[in-house]
Amino acid sequence: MKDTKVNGLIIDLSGVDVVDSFMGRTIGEIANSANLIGAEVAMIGLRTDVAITMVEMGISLGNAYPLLNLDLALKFLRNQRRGG
Amino acid sequence: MTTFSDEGSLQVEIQEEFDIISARARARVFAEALGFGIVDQTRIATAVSEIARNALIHGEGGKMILRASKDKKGLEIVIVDEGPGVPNIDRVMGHEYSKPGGLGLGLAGAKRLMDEFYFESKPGVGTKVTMRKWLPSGFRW
Repeated sequence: MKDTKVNGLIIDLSGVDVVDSFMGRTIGEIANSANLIGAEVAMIGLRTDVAITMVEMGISLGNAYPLLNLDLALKFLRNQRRGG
Repeated sequence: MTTFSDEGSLQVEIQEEFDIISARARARVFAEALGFGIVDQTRIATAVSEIARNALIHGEGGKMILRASKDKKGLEIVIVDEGPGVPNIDRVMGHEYSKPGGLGLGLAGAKRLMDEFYFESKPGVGTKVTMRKWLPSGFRW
């Protein structure tokens, strides 16, 4: 990210059928690290059943901002861009 | 009292990281075959993932056994390891053990996802987790 001056990150979880506490922590750490470097992080594609399970387990994904789809994620990142 | 049958039971070894993925995939398919809906399948797969990872990381590996109840209305998952065991179960089930890669959220979370959850651990002998999920009688996801 530092080399490419990327200032946004989208994490697509549509292929993920299980998020346990380990996975949740891993995704959260990626999101928070990217956030600290100066990028906004969006998270898309979370399956309904996975979301229900995560809420029941008490898993959160750090600073990853959850959005419905890629379109909204790109719009979100464009609006959030830090430093123009 | 419902009994769980060894007939048609399934055993999965948990010796490496990839085995966690196959354990939860087998549990999902097993649950689906019994008629569990997608949300319950995911709850079950997540609980298996959690407990299997504990067996691998803290218990030096182990195995998972999947069983159906005789009336086919329930699923039983037993995950055992022969690791060092856990001295204080109450602390593990709470949120006290919440070090990175630790047990805290995992065990308590897995318990919430299942209908029955039993954790037995003897220092020096190993740990055994028994989890059960019952098919909902009415509406299901």
